[in-house]
Amino acid sequence: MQRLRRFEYHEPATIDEATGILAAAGDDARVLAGGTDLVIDMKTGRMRPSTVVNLKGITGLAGIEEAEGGVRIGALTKVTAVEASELVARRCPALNQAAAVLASPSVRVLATIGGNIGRASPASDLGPPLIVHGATVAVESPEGPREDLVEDLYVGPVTTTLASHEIITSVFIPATPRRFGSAHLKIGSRGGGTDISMVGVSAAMTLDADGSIVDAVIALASVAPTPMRAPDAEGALIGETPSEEVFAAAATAAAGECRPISDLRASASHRVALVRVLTTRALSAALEIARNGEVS
Amino acid sequence: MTTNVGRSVPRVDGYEKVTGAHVYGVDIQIAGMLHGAVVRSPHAHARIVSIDTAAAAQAPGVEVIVTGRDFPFLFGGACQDQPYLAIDRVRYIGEPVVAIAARTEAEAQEAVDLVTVEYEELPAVFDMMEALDENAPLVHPDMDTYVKGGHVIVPHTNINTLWTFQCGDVEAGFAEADHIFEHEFSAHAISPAALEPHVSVAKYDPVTGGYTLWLPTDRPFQMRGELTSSLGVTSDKVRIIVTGVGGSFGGKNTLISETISVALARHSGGRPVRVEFTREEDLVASTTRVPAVMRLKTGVTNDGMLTARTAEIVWDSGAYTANTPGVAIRGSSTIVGPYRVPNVSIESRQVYTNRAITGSYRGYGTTQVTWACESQMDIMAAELGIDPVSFRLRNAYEEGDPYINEQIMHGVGLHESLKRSAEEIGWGEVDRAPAPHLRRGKGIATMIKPTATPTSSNAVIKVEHDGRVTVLVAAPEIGAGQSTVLAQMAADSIGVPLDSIVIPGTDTAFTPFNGPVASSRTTYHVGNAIMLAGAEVREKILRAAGEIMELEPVSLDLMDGVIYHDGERITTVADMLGSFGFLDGYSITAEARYSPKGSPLLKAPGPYEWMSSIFWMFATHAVEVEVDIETGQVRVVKVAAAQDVGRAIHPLGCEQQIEGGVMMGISNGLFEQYKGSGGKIANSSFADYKLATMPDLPEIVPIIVESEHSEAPYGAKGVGEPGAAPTAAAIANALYDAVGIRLMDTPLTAESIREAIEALAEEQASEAGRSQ
Repeated sequence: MQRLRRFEYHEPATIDEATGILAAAGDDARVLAGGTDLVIDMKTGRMRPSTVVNLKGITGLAGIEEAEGGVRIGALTKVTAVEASELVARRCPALNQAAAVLASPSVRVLATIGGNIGRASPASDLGPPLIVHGATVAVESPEGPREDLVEDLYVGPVTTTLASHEIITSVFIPATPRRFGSAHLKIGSRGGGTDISMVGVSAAMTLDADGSIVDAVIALASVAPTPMRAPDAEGALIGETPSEEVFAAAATAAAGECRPISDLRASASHRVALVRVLTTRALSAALEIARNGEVS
Repeated sequence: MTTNVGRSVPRVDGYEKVTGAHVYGVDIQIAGMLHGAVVRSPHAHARIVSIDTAAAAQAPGVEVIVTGRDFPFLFGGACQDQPYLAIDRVRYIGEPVVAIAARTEAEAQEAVDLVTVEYEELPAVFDMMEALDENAPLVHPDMDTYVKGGHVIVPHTNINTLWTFQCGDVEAGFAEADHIFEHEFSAHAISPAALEPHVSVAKYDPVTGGYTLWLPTDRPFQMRGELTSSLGVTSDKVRIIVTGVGGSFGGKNTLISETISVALARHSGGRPVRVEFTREEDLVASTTRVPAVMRLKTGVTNDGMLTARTAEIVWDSGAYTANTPGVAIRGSSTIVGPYRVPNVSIESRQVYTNRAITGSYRGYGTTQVTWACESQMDIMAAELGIDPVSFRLRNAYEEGDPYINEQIMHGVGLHESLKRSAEEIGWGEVDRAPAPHLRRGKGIATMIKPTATPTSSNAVIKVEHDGRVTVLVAAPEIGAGQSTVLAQMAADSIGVPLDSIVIPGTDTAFTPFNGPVASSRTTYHVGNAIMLAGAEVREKILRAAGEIMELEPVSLDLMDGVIYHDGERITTVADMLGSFGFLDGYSITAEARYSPKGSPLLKAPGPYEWMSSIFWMFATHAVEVEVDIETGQVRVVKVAAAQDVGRAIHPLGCEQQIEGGVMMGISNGLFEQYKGSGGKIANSSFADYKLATMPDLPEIVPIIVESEHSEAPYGAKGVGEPGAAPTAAAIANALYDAVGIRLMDTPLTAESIREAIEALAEEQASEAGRSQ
C-alpha cells in the first residue's frame, strides 16, 4: 500500500454538520467510520476521495439497546461489541455469529456495523444476517431522516441507494416471533475463520406450534453482486415440516438461484457447492434454535 | 565446561525487540534523506520504445529520476543477467523501469503516475514446460554473453541451468524391481513473505565514489560482492551496514530494493536515498520460491526395497536467474530423499519465463522435491501394501551408510525422527471424527538436506578492559536466534558470563568475512569459528593472568569470568584487566577461520565429492488432519515434528524453529498461492495472498533428536530450514489416509480437495455400477 495522497479532512461534531459538509463536497466525498475498508482503498489507490468526513467525533452513534419492538444498534458500534452483546446473541443469533467471524479480531475492533452495511461488499458478513432478520437502517441527510430495509439498500458491488450526503445512523432489528431461529455460516479460504468469505449463508425460520415452517428467509453472500435473498429456497421450506429432505431441496434451490462468479477466492462451481452445503447446515442450526426457543 | 550451551537462556536480542527498541531496516532515518519510488512494467515481455519523464520531473518534491540508460549495469548472484533498471526491454510484469526520488515517499509515488513509457509488446512465455519448446520466445537471447558462475547453460534456449547426476546403473536397478512407479508432481511459487518488506538506504559519496548501504540482509558479504562485481568497483567502495532484519526466509539475499536505492543515490548529489517496497511490490517484484515440475520413476521390490530412481525436474527461474542455479542443482540432488537408492539418474533443467523472479526459500529446493519424493513414497507404500512408516524405515539412511555420491553419512538421526514423530501422532490408532461429514487421517513425510559445503566463517574476539567481550562475526540475527546461540558458544568457549558477550551488527568495513546466514549453516560454521577463537582468547587470558599475577598459567582456570588458582578464586577477568588505569592495559584478541574443506568426513570417491555435506539434516513430520468431505476444508489437528539438530545449543530456540517451519509448511501447503494469468499477479496483498493465521494452526509438538557429530561445535548442526519441507507431503498423505484422494500438485486447496473427493465418489459409484 502506498502513502495517503492529499485530501480534505473533517471531524464534525453533529450529524447535521456532517451531512452539510458531505452535501457541499459532492459525490467525491466519503465518510470514515472504522476505516477498515476506506483507508485501505485510499492507500491502494482504488479510491481517491477529495474529502473525508470522520464520524467518530459525533456522540451517540454507538451502542446497542433494547428499543420498542426490537433492538437498535448505533451505526458506529464496533463489530466486537456486536459480537460480545448478550442482547444480540439472544435476539439475533445469526448476526452474533456473523460478527464473530467477520475478518480478524484486529479488524473487528475497528470496523463498525454501519460501515459494513454502507460498504455494500458482495462478501458482506453482516448483510445476510440483517436481511434474514428484516433489519432496517435509519438514514440522515439535509432532506431529513428516512428508513429503509437493509435488503433494499444494496444496488451492486460497493454501491447502495444511499446518496453520498446521506449517513446511516443506526440499525433496527425487529423482535422475532416465538419459535424463531436464525444462524449464519461462512467459509473463507482459510479454515480458521479470519478471512473474507468464499460463501456466506444466513438462514432464519419460524415454526408453528406443530413444528411446521411458517416463515423462512435465506440470504447469501459472495455469490452475487450484492448480498442476495434466495426466494426459491425459501419457497421450498415454507409450509413444510423440517426434515433432511426438505432442507436438501431448499439447499438445491439456493445452489440453483445463486449467481456466483469465479474470482481470486474461489471458482463459481466451488461456490455453488458451498452454497448447497452451508444452506443445509445453516438451516439445521436455525431449526435447533427455533425448536429450543432460545430467541426471546 | 558448558554453563550456557544446552540451556534455553533468555534471547540476547529479546528485550530490545519486545520493547520496540530494535532498529530494523524500515527504521533507518538519515538527515537529508530522499525517498524512492518505482515505475514498473505493466507488460510481461516488451521492448521499451520511449520514456517520457518530463511531467514527473516538474512534480512537487521530485529531485532525481533515473532510467536504465542512466545506470546501465547488470547484476546477479549466480549470473549477471539482471539490470538495475530495465534497459530497452522488460521481461516480467513489475520489472523496474524508472526510479524517482523525492522529498517524501508520497511525492515520489505521485510522480510515478506522471511517467509515460511506450512499449512494443513481444511474445512472452509463462509456462515452464512451454519455455523448453524450441520455438518458445527467448527471454534472454544473449544468455551466453552474461558473466556467470560455473553452472551449465544451454545457449539460444531458455535453459539457464542444466544439471545431471548418475550413480549405479538405473536400467539394472529397474530390472531388479518388482514394481516400477511413474508419477509427475508440481510445486508452486510462494512468497518468503517476511513481515518486514524489502527496504534499503543508499548513500553515494561523490568524492570517494563509494557507496554506503543500510539494509536488512542475511548475506552481507555476498550482497557486497554482487554490488562490487556488477558496478566494477573495489570492496572499499561498497560498505554494507546491516540493520535489524525483520525476517528473511530466503527472501533477503539478493539485490532487490537496493538496485533502486543505489541507482538513485548515484545521481542524487550525495543525498541518501531510502527505498521501501510496498507489500504489493514485495509480493510481485522481489523473489518467490522456484516452482517445479518433477517426474519420478522409481523401482521397488515386493518387500519394499528401493532399487532405482530417475528424476526429471524442470524449474522456473522466472525472468532472471537470481540465486536459483543452486536450487536447481542442490535441491534436485535431494529428490532421492533420505533413502538408500543404489541406482539414480537425475536430470534438472531450469528455464527462464516471463514471470516474477524466483529465488531461495527456506530449504533451498527441499520444500519442492520433498513434496514429490514423499508423496510418491506413500503411493508406493499403498500399492505394495506396506505401512508408510515401515516402508520408510526399511530404506532410510543410518549412520555409516553411503550417500548417493558415496560420502559416508555421519550424524544421522533419521530413524529416531521417524519413530518418535510416528509415536507422538499415535500412528496406527484410528481417531474418530466428531461429525458425520468429517473424516480424520494421519500421514507422515520425512526429508534430507545438506548444508552448502565447503563454506567458511571467521570470528574475531576482543576482550575489553572491563571484561566485556566483543565478538565480530558477519552473522546477522534474522530472527532465528543466531545471536543468542553464538553468544552462548562464545561465553562457554572462553569461560565468561553470557551477559559479557557483545555481538555488534555487521558492517562489512570492519566485520570479518562470513558465508551467508543461509543453508542452516550459521550455528555450525560460525560456531566453529567462535570456538576456535574462543579457545585462543581463553588461553591468552590465562597467560595474561599468569604474567600479571606471577603465577604459572597451567595452575590457572577460568570459569564464568572468574580466574581460579589451584581451585581458589583469585580475581575476575574484569578486575584483572581493569586494574591498569587509562594509559596502560591489555588487549586480548584472537581471530579464527573455520572451513570444513579437507575434513575426512567429506571424502567421497568418484566425481561427485563436491556434493558431500559437512553435516546432514533430517526432519520428519507426522500429522493428523480432519477433512470436511462436503466442503473440502482441511483442519490440521496436530503435527508431531521430529528433527535431528545434532545437539540443541538452545532447546527452546530449536523448538521454535521447528514450530515456525511447520507453520510455513502448513501455510504454503494449504493456503498460499499466487493467482492471475499472463504473468500478472492478481493477489498482491496479504488480504488476497493467504498466509496461515494463528487460528489456522494446530497443536505442534516439536521433538528434538540429537545425533552425534564429531566436528560440530558442541555437537550442533543446523536447524532452520528442514522444518518447512515435509509438512505439505505429510498433509497430502494424511488426506489419502482420511478420504482416499491423492493430489499431485500443491497447494492443497479446499476446492481441489472437494473436487477430488467428488471425482473419487463418482469413480467408485461407476465401478460399483459396472460390477453389478
